[in-house]
Amino acid sequence: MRKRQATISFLVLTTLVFTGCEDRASRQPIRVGVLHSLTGTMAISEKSVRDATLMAIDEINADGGLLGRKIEAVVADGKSDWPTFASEADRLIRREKVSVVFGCWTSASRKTVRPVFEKHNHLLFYPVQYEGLEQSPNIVYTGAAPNQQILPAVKWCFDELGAPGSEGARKFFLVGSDYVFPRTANAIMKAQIAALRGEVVDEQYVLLGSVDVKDVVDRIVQTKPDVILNTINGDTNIAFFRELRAAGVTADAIPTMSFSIAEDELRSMDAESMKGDYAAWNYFQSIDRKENTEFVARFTAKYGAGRVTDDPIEAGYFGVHLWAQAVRDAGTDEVSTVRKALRDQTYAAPEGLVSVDGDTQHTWKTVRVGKITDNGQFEIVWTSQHPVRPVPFPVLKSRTEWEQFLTDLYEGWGESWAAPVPASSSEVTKLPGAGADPG
Amino acid sequence: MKSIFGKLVFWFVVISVVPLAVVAFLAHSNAERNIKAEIMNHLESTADNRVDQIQAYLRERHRIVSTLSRTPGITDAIERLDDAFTTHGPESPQYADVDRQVRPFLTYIRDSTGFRNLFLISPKGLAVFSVNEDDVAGANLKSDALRDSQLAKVSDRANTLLETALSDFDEHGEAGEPAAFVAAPVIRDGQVLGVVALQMSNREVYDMIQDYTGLGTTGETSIAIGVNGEVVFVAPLRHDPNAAFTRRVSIGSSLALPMQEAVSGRKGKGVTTDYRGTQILAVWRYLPAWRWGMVVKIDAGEAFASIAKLRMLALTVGIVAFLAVLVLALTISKTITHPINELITSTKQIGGGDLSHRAKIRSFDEIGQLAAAFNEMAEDLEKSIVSHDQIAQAAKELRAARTASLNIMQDIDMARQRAEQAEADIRQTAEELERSNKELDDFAYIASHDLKTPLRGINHYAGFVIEDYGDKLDDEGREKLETMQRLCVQMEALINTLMTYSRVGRLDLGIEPSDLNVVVQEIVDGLRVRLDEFNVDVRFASPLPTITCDRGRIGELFYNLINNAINYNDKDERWIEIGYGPYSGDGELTTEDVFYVRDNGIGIRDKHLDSVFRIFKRLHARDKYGGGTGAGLTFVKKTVERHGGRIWVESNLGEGTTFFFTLADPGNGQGPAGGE
Repeated sequence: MRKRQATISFLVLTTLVFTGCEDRASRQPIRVGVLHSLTGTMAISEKSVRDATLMAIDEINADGGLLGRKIEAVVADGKSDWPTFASEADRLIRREKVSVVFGCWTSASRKTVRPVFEKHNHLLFYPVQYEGLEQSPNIVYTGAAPNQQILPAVKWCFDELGAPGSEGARKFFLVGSDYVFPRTANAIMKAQIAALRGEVVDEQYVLLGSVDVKDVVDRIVQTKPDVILNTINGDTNIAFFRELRAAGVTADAIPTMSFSIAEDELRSMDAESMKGDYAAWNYFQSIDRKENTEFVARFTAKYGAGRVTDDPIEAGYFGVHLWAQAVRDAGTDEVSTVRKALRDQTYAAPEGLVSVDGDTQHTWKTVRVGKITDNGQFEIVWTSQHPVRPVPFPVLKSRTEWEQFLTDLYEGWGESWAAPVPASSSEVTKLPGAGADPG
Repeated sequence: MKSIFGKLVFWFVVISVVPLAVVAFLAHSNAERNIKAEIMNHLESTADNRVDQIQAYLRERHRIVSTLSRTPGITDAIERLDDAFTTHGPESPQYADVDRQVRPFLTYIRDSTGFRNLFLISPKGLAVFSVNEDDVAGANLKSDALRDSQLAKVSDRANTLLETALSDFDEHGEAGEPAAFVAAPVIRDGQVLGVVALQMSNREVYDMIQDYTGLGTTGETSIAIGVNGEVVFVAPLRHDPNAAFTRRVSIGSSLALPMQEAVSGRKGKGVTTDYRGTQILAVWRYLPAWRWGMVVKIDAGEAFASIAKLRMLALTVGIVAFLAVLVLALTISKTITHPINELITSTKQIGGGDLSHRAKIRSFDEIGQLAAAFNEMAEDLEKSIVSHDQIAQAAKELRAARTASLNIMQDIDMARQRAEQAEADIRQTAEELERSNKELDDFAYIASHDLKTPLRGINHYAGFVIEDYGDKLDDEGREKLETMQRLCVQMEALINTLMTYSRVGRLDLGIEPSDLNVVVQEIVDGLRVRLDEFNVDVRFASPLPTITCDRGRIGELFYNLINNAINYNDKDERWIEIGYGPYSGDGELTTEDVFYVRDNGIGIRDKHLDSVFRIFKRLHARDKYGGGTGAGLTFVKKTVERHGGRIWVESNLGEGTTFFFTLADPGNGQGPAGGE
């Protein structure tokens, strides 16, 4: 009897030892990098995306982790400074040995870190809508490509806006901050408006972070467009809308379609004066979906009832889940295997089903147009019936033409992704690169 | 299970069948797992292939249409058709003329690209051209009738979003045939001239889906889309050729479970239930392009057929093995237990009295040996057991013998009583003797002690007379007085000896274990001067024992014997041999080990042998042979007797003398009785 007990104990012990060994080997957490500006001008927007990213990681960990391992987030601060983004990306990859990086907001930061990820053949999840014209095998774009935000929004304006009784808006006024995203977005919109036989009455740019918008508003009053297509980023928007309303331009008279104003931005703006204007996004906090209601509830429970969710927050959130699904399918967190497994991932995100497009590594996303309500939220007035295929290079021009267009911009700005602030300008209110909000 | 037979059979079966069963179970479950994993892998790779195939197909369609939209042939055609159509109307000869010019090229395009149809649509939504002259040709896609058609929607998207667009895969036209369209904007110089739309052949899609290679007889790829809380199958099913757009399963029902998952955007695999309610092994995927759910599956019955076969085989082998083991166990158990049973029968028979019975010896193994041993035992038993009559006779004799022995015992008893009486008499006599001896000793002591005082007085007075009256006496008188004095001294010596002798009998012995080798050696050493003087060699024939005795007395004993041996010797080479061992002399018979002291001295005449122990007995002149009072041997004898021993002497005159003596058995450590 004692002998039998001894045998059983031995077997149990052996099993435990073996499982123990196996456990110890796989107990190493999977390290992931979270690279956002936690200081500087971009911090106000990027911190929220970081929060959403960490929340998704917490959810996965609470659910037992990945492949039986915990995910350990290594949070790095890009400091709203593009070279810092590049060096931090390099550190995360080489020193911290992360399996993936979730991060970046501005196109400038993305374009700066892109060579780092390509050099190390690593993986970046980029969560913000952008101007397109880019496709890297080392970046998964979970934000909208132009055809998932800009083009449908302009078409919607054509169909739905304009003077009462008219067939829709035909006269468009383009205004944006002077850096790569608005310039590119406007180039796309101009081509689309032209193709649709509409009219661009004027195209104006304001320096990043500048509050000098009077001239622009004057031009709007002069040209009397049907719609203002607004790609202004950051604090300039506050000045812009204040000035616009001051000039007597109401949302009813000339509605504005904004591409960089979401719930988070509305918190720092006068929602009352914004009411009735429009924004195009893939996600609004007001989406009536079970997945979204739960997502918003979890987010506010975790970070406070005063917090809102918006498009980049949601994109940052589901990016983690898409990656986690790919890791589960791949059975490893090894980068190239995961990249391969990512190609056919679909996730029921708060905005709806999002699927990675194997060809472009962008995501299929549902497009929506929302109307600003007085509580700083959006009333969804239009939605694409289904997720829309991402087309990073609009077919209006060939890819070669688009890339030449970008190169011209970059070189025209003295090898920068934003217009340089004139040295003589007395209106320099922000640091270089500051306010380079979405895109 | 009380019998060895039962135990043997049981353990045989257990020992052989249990490991067999365990191994079979492990092998089987392993095989089952492997087969299942293999099927799953196969289904997964099939599903991945299908997805890749469909996506590659769509990508290719996409590219063809995108490329087409920029070809001058198309841009020209759409511009001219639109112009003729809007300017002159669809019935106009101008339009018919343009149509005739462009039709061969567009038909060629349709055929060479493998599309079903090609449409050219004006920016305003007019279907200005259709290769197949169907009812769409010339229709306005923005009209109420067509606005919601897939062609209208996809054309509008291409027209306004300026991208190559893929329509849903849906029923099209009056025939309701499933179809999908790819549309691209026709742009020249940044101006949208219209849309080119091509209708995909559903045959090609169906062919991809209906490829059952590697899916056995029940496997298939099914395709469905989720619409308004329903799963709608969009392609024919293997088990339902008319399923396309007719078979629907509401989401949440217990049918088509993997498809419900797939249209919800989830991928996965497992054993689940298909649209028929049949259990299947399935792998499911989601295709975003058409929001299709795809399930690649095979019926569990077919997939697990090989497992069932394997299980059957394992079971059959198991049963056969079990039966074989059972038969083997029975046979072997029987060969073991049969001889044992026979032995039991034999034992019972012998136990029953048949002593001539013998067990059969069938083998030379342990049981054979046991049977042989048993037979030997039976033989011994038969020999040793006598008949009943013999026993009775023996009993009678025994009774007679007992009567006789009782008589003898009575006689012995009487004799013993007499002997006891005699012994008591002897003891009394001995006691009396001892008492009288002691009284004698006491008397001798007191007498000699009391005698010494007057004797000394006489001696003194004789001295006084010589001193005071010496001059008055003549020589003769003085000589006589001197003689008197000498006699007094001599007498005192005799009295002292007598006192010593009585003390030997009177005083208690100091009993202690003593090594006689040491005791004798001390004596010899003490006599060393004399021994050397007379050139005497002392030999020890054997080591002496250690005995419990009065060490001093025994020392005196040896002193006297050795001293005598030195004195009574006139040889040139003198020796003394001291020994201890079995008595080998020719006189007294004794079995005890004896001490002896032998010399090569003058010897003793036979007639004097008894008197040498008498006190004051001297065989020679007073001053011959060392002098002395002649009491030494008397002391020796007394000491030996006090130690419970005996002493005797053997001698050949002129050759030597040997004194033998014993001291109460020295071997057992019991010393001689203490003095009284």
